[in-house]
Amino acid sequence: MRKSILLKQGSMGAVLAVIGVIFLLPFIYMLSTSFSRQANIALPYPPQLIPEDFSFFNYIVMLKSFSVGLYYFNSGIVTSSVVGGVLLISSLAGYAIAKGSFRGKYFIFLLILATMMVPFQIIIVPLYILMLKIKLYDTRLALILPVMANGYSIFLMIQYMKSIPDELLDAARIDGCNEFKIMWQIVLPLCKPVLAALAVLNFLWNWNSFLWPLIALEDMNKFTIPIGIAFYQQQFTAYYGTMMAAATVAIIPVLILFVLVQRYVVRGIALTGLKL
Amino acid sequence: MRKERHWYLFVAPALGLFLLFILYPLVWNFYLSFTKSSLIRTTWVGLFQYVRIASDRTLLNALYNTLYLTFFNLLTQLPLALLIATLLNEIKYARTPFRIIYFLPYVTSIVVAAIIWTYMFDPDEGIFNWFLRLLGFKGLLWLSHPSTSKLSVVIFNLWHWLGYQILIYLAGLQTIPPQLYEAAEMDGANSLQKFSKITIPLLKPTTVFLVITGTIGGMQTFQQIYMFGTAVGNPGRSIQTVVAYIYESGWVLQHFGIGATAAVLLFLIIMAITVVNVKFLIREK
Repeated sequence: MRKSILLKQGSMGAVLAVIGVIFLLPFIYMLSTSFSRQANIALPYPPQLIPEDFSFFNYIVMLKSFSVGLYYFNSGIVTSSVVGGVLLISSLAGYAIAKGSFRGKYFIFLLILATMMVPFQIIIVPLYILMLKIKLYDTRLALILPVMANGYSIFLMIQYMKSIPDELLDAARIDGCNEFKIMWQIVLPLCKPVLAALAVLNFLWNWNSFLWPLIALEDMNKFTIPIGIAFYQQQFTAYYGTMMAAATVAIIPVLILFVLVQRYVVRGIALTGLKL
Repeated sequence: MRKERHWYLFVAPALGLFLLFILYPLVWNFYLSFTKSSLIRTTWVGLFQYVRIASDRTLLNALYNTLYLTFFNLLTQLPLALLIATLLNEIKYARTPFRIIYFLPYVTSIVVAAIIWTYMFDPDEGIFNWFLRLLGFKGLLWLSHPSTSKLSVVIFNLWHWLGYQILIYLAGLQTIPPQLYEAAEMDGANSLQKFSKITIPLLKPTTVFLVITGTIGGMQTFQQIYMFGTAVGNPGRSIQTVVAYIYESGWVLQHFGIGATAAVLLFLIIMAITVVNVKFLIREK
C-alpha cells in the first residue's frame, strides 16, 4: 500500500515535470538564442541549450538600438498611475455602494456591472476620435484615463466591503468621524488582501496592454514596452539574437516580480473564478 | 436626507469616467455605424454599412477565423487544464513551484511571447521542425502557410492560457469536500468513476465560467495575430480576427465607419454569448 502511493506520487511528479519543461521551453529557447553569437545570421540549428559560441554580443547590439530604459520608464509611469487610480476610485465607489444609502444606488450598481460587459476592443474607434477631439491623443493620459474606472475592480471591492460588519462603522460614526475618514482609516486597512490582489491584477492587465497604446500613441518617446518591442521587431526581425536579447530584457524583470508576488496573483485570479 | 448627498462624491469619479470613456463611446460607436466616416468627414448613410459588411467576404472570413480559433482553443485547453489541475491537486509535494511555472506564460506579454514563438515556428531552423525531423517526420510550414497557421495560433494560445485555466480549476477542485470521494471509495468506485461521477459534475459551474471567459477572450484576440501576421492576419488572411479587421478598417484603410459597424457586430455576438451563458448559469442554480 505504502509503496503504491509512493509510486503514484512519483509518477505524477514526473508527468507534471515534463509538462513544466514544455511550458518553460520558449523561455529557455529565448535565453539560449540570446547568448549565441551567430544567432544574428541564422537560428542555432540544431538548437543548443548552452550555445557553443556563447557571447554577450547580442545584448551589446540590443542596448545600442533598443531604448529599453525609456520604454520601462513609460510603462512604469502609465501602469503605476493606472493601478493607483483604480485602487482609489474602486475603494470610493465600492464603499459608497457597499455601505452607503442614497437614491439611485442600485441603478449605479447595475451600470457598473454593465460596463464589465463592454470589451475595450468594441469602442476603440470612437475612443480614438474622442482622444483626438479632447487633445489627449498621443499623451500618456490617453492610456491612463479610460482604464482607471474598472468595473470588475469596483465589483470586487463592493463584494469584499459588504463582509465588513456595520457595527464597526457605526461606532466610528458615533465618535463623529466623517465617511471618508471611516473608509480611509477603518475600512481600507481591512481590505488589504483584496487591494493587493487588485493591484497585481491591474498591473498585469496594463503592463501588457497593446492594442490601445498602439492606437493612441505616435511619439516613440512615449512608447510602452509592448509597443516599443513590436516596433523594434519590424526593423530587426532577421536579427534573431538581438531580438531575443530584447525579449529577455522586456520580460525577465516582470517574471521575477511575478514569482515574488505570485501569492497575490493566485488569490486575485481565484477570486475572478469564484465570484461568478 | 441631507447626509445622503456626500455619497455621490464617492461614486462621482467612477461614474464620470464610465460615462465619458465607455458609455459615450459606445453610443457614438452605434452612431458611427450608420455613417460613412473618415476622420475629416462624416456623412449619414443609414444602414448602408450594415448591408456592405453583410456581403464583405473579408469580414465573414475574419468572423469564421475568430470562431474557429475560439472553438479549438476551448476544446484543447479545458480538458488539458482539468487534467493537470487534478494532478496538481493530488500531488503532495512541489505544488507551488509547478503552479508558478505553469502560470509564467499567462503573465508574459503576448507581444513578446509571439516574437519568441515566431522563431520557434520557423520552417527551416525552428525548434518545432527540428523536433519533428528528429522523430523522422517532415517539418511543417507552421505560420508560413494558411493550412497550418490556425493550428500554430491554437498551439500558441494553449501555451498562453493553460496556466490561467489550471488555476481556476484548481480553485474549483479545492471546494469539493473530500468526504464525497471517501464515500465513493467505500462503495468501491475506481479513480475513473470518481473523476467522471464526482469531479466533472461538481466542476460544471467552473467549466461554464471558463467557457464564458474563454469565448469572450477569444472574440477579443488581437495581439498574437498582429505579431504573427500583421493587421491583415497573414498568410492570406488565414488568421485575421474580427478585432484585427476593425483595426485594419480604421487604422490601415481609414474607413472608421466600417470599423465601427464591425465593432457593433462583435458587441452583439459577445452580448448574445453572455446572455445565453448567464441564463444557463441561473438555471443551474
